[in-house]
Amino acid sequence: MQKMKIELSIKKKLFTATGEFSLNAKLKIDHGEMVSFFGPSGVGKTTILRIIAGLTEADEGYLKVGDRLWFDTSKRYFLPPRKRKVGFVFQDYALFPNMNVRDNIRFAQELPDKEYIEELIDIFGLTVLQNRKPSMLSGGQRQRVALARALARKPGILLLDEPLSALDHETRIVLQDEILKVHKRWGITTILVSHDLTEVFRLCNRIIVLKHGRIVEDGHPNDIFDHSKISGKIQFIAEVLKVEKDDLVSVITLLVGNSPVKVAVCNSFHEHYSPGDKVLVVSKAFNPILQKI
Amino acid sequence: MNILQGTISCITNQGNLTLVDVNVKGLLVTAIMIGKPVKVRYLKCGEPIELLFNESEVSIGKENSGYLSVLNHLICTVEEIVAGKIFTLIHMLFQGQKLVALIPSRSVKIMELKKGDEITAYIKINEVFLKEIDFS
Repeated sequence: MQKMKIELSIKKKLFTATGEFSLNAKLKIDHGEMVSFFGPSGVGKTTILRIIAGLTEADEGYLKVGDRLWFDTSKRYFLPPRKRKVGFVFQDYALFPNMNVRDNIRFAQELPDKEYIEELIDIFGLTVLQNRKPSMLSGGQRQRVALARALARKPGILLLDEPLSALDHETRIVLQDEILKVHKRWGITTILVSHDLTEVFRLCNRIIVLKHGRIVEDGHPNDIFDHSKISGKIQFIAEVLKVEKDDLVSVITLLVGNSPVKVAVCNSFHEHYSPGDKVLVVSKAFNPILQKI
Repeated sequence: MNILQGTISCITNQGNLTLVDVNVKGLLVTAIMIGKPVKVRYLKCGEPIELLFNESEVSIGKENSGYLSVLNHLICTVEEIVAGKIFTLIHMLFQGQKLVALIPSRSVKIMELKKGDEITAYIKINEVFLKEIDFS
């Protein structure tokens, strides 16, 4: 598969529930990179992916992929989506319900290549499932098919828009491994939109942070998150499930990923926590206990 | 959570370990952090900074003499003692600033701590967080 580098410079007005704002992004992605777009909802991450795929047009700007111009508003040039070698995976799979797994993947191919389909079915563990229709598959299985289908076109760029958000924790981990395996095998330039920091750290060595329609940070995840305000290195987001007062401390049950964890918090300054609160848990990384398993 | 505000007076770096001395009302309070100064925006001499440490990470001493390996010693006065069965909260004043320690109720008994006592709050350097001051 041809490895493609991306050069993008775009401006677009976006309309959201909270009002109008302008998306203004300029970036370069090298061939074979796996980059994450990170930022709050509605900041323009999906829009940029759609502009790259040709599903949405920018108000102003250009996009060059490999050595080819995909669009340039100043030259009024626009390469239609079907001519762009892009594999796109959305959060909601979007498989053809009346076709089985094999046909779903085959349909995405430009030119039939049976050997390649076999390879994809094998890599994604779909051999046993290949004759089933999407309604007979689990969420994780459907997403595997969606990934295989995106790769069936032999794309130069892979765009993953929160592909694993709808899946449970364990399935996410397994699919993250598959995405890594695929990237290692074919080295396709990949952009992953994810709000899951653990996922971003696992899969990407470059993160582009967007805020208010602009790129505010661009670098290795370790470096970006070194900029956080508190020096504690073990940080994660959790949700408060229960608050119980024991002696002079509050024992708060937090939902961390999929697991409930009880933490003891001294509330001498009358901070109040209620079930449903989202909290940032910060702990010192100095000499935690590490145990090989 | 205890919070002290001060100014970074000295930064000592060795690879990924950075020792930060902070001037808090004329006293030096020290923290160790994992990170390189060049990569951490708020780590610059002269910059204002907040120091955070948990109540449970404050040890209390009374009438101590001799040496202790803990670098941070804050001389305080006991303002209020809130006793539980297992833990006791010691509310104290450090140069006008309120601080709180969570210590075993058993220790309070042994030390015969009471309101008005002059005590020393000890905090280890690896138990102090640094926090960038948010001016927004």
